[in-house]
Amino acid sequence: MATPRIREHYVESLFILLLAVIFAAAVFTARGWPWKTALFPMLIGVAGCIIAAALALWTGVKGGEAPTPGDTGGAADIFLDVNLRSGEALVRTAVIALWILGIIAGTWLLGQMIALPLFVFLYLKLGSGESWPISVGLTVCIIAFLYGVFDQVIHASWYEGELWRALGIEMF
Amino acid sequence: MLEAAHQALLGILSWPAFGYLLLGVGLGVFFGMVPGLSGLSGMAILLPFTFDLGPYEAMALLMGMYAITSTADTISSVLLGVPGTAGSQATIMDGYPLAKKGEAARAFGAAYTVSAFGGVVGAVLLVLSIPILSPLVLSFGAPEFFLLGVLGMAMVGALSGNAPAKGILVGLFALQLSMMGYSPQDGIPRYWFNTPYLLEGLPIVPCVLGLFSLPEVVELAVRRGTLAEVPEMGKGMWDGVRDALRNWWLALRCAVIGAYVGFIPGLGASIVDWVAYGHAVQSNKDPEAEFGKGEIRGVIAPESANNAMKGGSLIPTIAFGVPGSATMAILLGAFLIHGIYPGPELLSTRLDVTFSVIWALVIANIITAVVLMGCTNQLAKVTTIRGSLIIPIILVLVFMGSWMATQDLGDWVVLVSAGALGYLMKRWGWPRPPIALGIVLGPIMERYLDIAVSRYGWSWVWQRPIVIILILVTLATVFYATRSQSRQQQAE
Repeated sequence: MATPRIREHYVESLFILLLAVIFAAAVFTARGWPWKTALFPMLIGVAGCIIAAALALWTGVKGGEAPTPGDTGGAADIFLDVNLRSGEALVRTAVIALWILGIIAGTWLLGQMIALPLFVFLYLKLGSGESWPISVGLTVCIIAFLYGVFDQVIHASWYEGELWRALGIEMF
Repeated sequence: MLEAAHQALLGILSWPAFGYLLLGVGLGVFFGMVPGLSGLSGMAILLPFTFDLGPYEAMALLMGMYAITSTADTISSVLLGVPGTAGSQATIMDGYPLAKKGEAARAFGAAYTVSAFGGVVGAVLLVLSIPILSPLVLSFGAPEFFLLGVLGMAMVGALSGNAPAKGILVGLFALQLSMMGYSPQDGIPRYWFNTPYLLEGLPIVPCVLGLFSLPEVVELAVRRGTLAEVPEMGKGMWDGVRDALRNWWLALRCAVIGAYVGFIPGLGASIVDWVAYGHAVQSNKDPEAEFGKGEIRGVIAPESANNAMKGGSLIPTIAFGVPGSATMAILLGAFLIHGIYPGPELLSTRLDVTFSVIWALVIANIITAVVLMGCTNQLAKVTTIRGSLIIPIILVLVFMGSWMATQDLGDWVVLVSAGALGYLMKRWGWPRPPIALGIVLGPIMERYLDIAVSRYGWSWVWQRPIVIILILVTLATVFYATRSQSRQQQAE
């Protein structure tokens, strides 16, 4: 049975192959365009396709190792510094991903001015088990921030929310 | 030139620009100090707020924040042994042992002094470079600028640690993404998947916020950032200042190293501090110095270099439109948003904007050093806030920052998609800076390529000497990166 690290290596190889396919599709799509429009996409697409295919082949033949936590490989970037058992880390990753997706779903349904403060309150109270004063206090601060900065200073337009639209209620 | 410098100084010191500079400094302290955030996240979050500002105000806000993250990140590096940003990794080597010995205040005194010094040296080198760079840049045409873009992408990719091919591939992928929407040549929609949102192209801000901020938030949530015990601050802030003054020659050398490492496109902040630290160790002649065990020169060297690097990294961004890092790519985006095109324009007709950037860099560095020396004890407490309290606030900032791109829910879809990509790249050790650079550089490179081919056909490839030099440098960059990777693999 493949170890998590080897499994991750397979997934990474698939990711490289996916990139090769994307580059190939980009070149294929650009065929019908006038040459000036197609020049740059073709140039980049062909180069990307060749490098991706070569890298996929190289990775497949040579094998590879996923970086250990905190290992930057010398690159100008910060890599994951999480040193948890992968199952536990995966569950926590899924939970925060659901919260993030919840922000979009909530905004689509209720609009930002309701969804964002609601998210802050629910995350603090239910997600983190914070006390009522902290949860309510920070939520009020976020409402003040959104209203003060984005509504009054920047005059951002707000997403209305499909629920209010369906009910014919003008919220913002 | 002097007139432009004077005009820019008055512009930065006038109200409300100076207020924005102070706001930027305050935010920069926060972004630098809190591990997981960085100048890059800060720059991405602040960018949409500059849309309605004038150029001086926008530069004051952005540069005030950007200039001092390398100063503020010392707090968590020294107190917690956790780098506030990528550029303060080397500071931990001796800063944290100093804190454990009860000499944190001494480390801060030295770090803040040389940070301000390094920041000013970087800015001075930037000023001195302008008269030299100006005629050079004016002799460049569309083919040279296109090749500079290629070189920048190659360097960023090739310097992506032990995986240069991945870096280059990611950069090419980002260039491909940047072509979404109407083509600049004849308005033909490209890669828009029947989604009207994509017709205007992929917005930079949600992409950058997603790539760099969301993965940090996810990591913070997974790690369950716990309250860290802050070691004793100790007494001796002024001892540190005296240490810095005693080692002024080392600080100057490291500042010059920092500025010139920052000048080279692709060399990020995470390298410059190690280069300077290595120089401090190698040039040490004191037999009693114990680097890695609380040697003050181990703090002075990286802190001087990482602040000077900021000035150096501005040189290619301003002069050639080639950002030296992902943060500079966002700054480049800010220039474009304000209708300012890097290159000849910023070195001639808009020299005042260039000087406003330089003044903001100098003033922000000095203000920060003075302020932080006065209130380090209190500021350090922010780094101990529970992640559970910080996460919702950061997410609201990130989502609203993205919303300002086009004020469409599509911005959030792009944000989350870029976040997922950024997280996977982080997990697999794929460098993310080439993506940010590619998305920003794509339209610029395409414009220059189009002009070059329309004006000269393909003869510019072999008829222009600078183009030939740039092609050779690009090939050499890729060759040496690949060779050093294979040597490293053989050694392992």
